[in-house]
Amino acid sequence: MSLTARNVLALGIVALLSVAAASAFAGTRRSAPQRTVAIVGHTVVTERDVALARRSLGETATHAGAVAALVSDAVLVDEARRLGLLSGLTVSVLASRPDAVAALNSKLYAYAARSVPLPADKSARTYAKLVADAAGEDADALQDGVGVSNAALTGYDNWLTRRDQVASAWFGRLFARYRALTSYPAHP
Amino acid sequence: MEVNRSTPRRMLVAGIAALATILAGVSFETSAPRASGDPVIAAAGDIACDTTDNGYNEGQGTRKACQQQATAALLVGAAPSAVLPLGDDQYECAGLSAFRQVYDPTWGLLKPVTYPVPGNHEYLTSGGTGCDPTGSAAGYFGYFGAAAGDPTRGYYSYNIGTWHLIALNSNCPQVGGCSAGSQEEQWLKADLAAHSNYCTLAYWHFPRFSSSGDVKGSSAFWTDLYNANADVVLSAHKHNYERFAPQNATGAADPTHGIREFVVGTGGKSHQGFRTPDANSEVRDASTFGVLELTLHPKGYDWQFVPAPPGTFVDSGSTSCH
Repeated sequence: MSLTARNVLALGIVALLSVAAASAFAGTRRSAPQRTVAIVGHTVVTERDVALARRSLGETATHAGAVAALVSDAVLVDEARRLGLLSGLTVSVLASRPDAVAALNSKLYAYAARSVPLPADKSARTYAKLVADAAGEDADALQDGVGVSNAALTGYDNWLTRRDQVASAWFGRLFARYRALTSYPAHP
Repeated sequence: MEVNRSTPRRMLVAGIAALATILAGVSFETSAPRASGDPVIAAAGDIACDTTDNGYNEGQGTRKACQQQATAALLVGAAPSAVLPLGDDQYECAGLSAFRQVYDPTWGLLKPVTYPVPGNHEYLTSGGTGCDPTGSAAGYFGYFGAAAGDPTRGYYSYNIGTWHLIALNSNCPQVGGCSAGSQEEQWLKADLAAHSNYCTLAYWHFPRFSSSGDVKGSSAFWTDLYNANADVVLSAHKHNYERFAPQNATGAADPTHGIREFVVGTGGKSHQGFRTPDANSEVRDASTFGVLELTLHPKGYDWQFVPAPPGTFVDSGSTSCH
């Protein structure tokens, strides 16, 4: 085989591979387009987010289930953004790392429960601050109430419970409010 | 999700038991098949130490700490239909690498039949091996995968035999609250309404009632379960064992419709003492590691606390569902 013929053959193979690669890429794009599935406040959920979420949530995740989960996540993202609590987290990020919603929930929970004052009882208040400031094993020992009186432990638990009641109600109202702010554009 | 005590599953567990004997050098006896043939589940929380724990001792633990290997041997010997880790499954922060190093070769031997719930340590960001700095329990959800439910929630339900089992996430800030009106509480109500099983069991990490200190944040769960005639609640977090008489959500005894709670924080990590005993606390032990086995009959259940050697404390009984 002459050098020229070898070059022509090599070029042909490269061209074929390029066409195949382009087709494969186009196929990938077709399978997860940027088509809008839902608009939640000012946050958009796309078909590509749904595809990512279904991959993250496992084989059993249905399209409808993934959309419902993402709309729920989008409510949190949209509200956190509106309140100026969010930096960097998007629905697309949550679609590929669904566990990350826990951190977003924690941030909104702290905001929602901010109106609940620390325990009136001084020892319970001191204890609550200690727990909040501790980490790891220290927090565990503190939460067990080691060295804390029954009254302080009860006061602390009452405070946590009150915070949870206030935050839960706030989240309940949030999702109710966003039901009116969510739309699902129809597609042909 | 339906779970049955199928022959292939029992063969798998028996195979795992044999393998565990060879690999770990742990001795145990496979318990005789239950006369009833009804499914048996095994539960405990507060389980596997971090390798950096002072009591880890190359995985062997000490007399008072890090006995995850001993409690795992009980599980393998029991060959249960399901294992319910009740949270704080892997200390200190449930990093994926810690799970693989400690939980996996012990309680992980029963991973194919495991239905976990997360504890507070699953969401910690520091203090141990391989912590998830985002506070998202990535190690927990990464290790258990789909068995831990949707990672945005960490709560789910399933059936075993004729029973309905509900795994709840009591890390309230991470799930948008646990009280009335929260998404989880609404989901629980809907799940209870959708399942009319004769017997229902729910489990989560923080105990509503404990003589080491109540955690009232889960009161709404209890109310919903009580209103739906649920029978049993399992929790952990307090590193001891406690059994309560059936109660309503405020802690009043109710032998007719009340829910019986077991606190089983005896999975291996360490022990914790009691304060003033709660009303309706029937049995307490703060010095024995072990697991709680429940035999789920169609209209009732047997319970048995099985101690890890050298512990000798036992507790057992039987009762009907509502």
